[in-house]
Amino acid sequence: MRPDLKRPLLVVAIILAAHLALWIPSPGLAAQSLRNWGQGLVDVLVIVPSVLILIGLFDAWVPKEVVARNLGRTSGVRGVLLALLLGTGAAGPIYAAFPIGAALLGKGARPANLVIFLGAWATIKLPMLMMESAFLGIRFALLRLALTLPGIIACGFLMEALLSGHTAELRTSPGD
Amino acid sequence: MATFPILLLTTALGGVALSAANDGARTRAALKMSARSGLGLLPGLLAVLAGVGLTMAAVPPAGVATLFQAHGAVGFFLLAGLGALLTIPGPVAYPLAGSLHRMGAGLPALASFITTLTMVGALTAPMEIKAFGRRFTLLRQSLSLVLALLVGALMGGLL
Repeated sequence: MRPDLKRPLLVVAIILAAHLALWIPSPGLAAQSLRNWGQGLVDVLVIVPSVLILIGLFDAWVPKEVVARNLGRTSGVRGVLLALLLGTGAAGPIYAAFPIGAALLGKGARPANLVIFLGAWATIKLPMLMMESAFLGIRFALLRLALTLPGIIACGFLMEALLSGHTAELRTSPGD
Repeated sequence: MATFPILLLTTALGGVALSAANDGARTRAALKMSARSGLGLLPGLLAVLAGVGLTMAAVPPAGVATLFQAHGAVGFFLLAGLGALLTIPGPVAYPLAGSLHRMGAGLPALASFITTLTMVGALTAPMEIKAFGRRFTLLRQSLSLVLALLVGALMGGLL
């Protein structure tokens, strides 16, 4: 795909037009929606460009063989632990993890470890654990963690089994 | 929370400097790839964020709270369903869950709410499909939804 600004600009134009149309019956809702959109964009734009740069460098410098060895079919328990560690170490919503996951998959990570990475990214974070304890109690936070962690690992291997024979579809290049 | 983006940017810029010192041409190719995937990502990102923004404006936290004073199975599935529709990052999700709890929502329901909120997102599915394909996305999201409901149900028994 050729990089061009036309499609993003078109999307922005459509979104602004939709809000303009919404403004007539409900100006308060349109304003709040626009504010949320702006806040969401700020949240994403402070993280995603750095992530994309790191993915580009990762792609250029890290040999396929290294990823395949550490996260691939034969990586075993160590691969699962590494996937968990990679997922918990980062911040940001789960969609920031999609391009990273696509890059890992392209370099030979096994699907189970990709799913574990995404799950850990979404819901297991140490700073978040503190926040969860503050708002809902430490018993709640630790119990939810203890139940979710094995669930995510089980999901990873279940998905890999269910996806076997469909790996061709998974091997698409990132950002395409 | 603001330290993480700065740390990330510093790491990225340091990486670029290190890479450029070793191989300028390879670095240029890498950055070109980053820019291309960024532009590819942008339309979906803009649309998804607008959808999330509109949903959050139409269903404000206070409204959610009164809606989910329903107890039992109804409240449980309503909360899980709302969580599955939206994807909200943790710093927003936990205060929301906290105020829902104060307003009477049950802890098991909130456990599945938080889990679906962070792991499952119907509104972000288009971006996931773009990265990993339709089959992968549908499978991962359905399995995560089942996991979230299971976690909530188990917590109901344990808490």
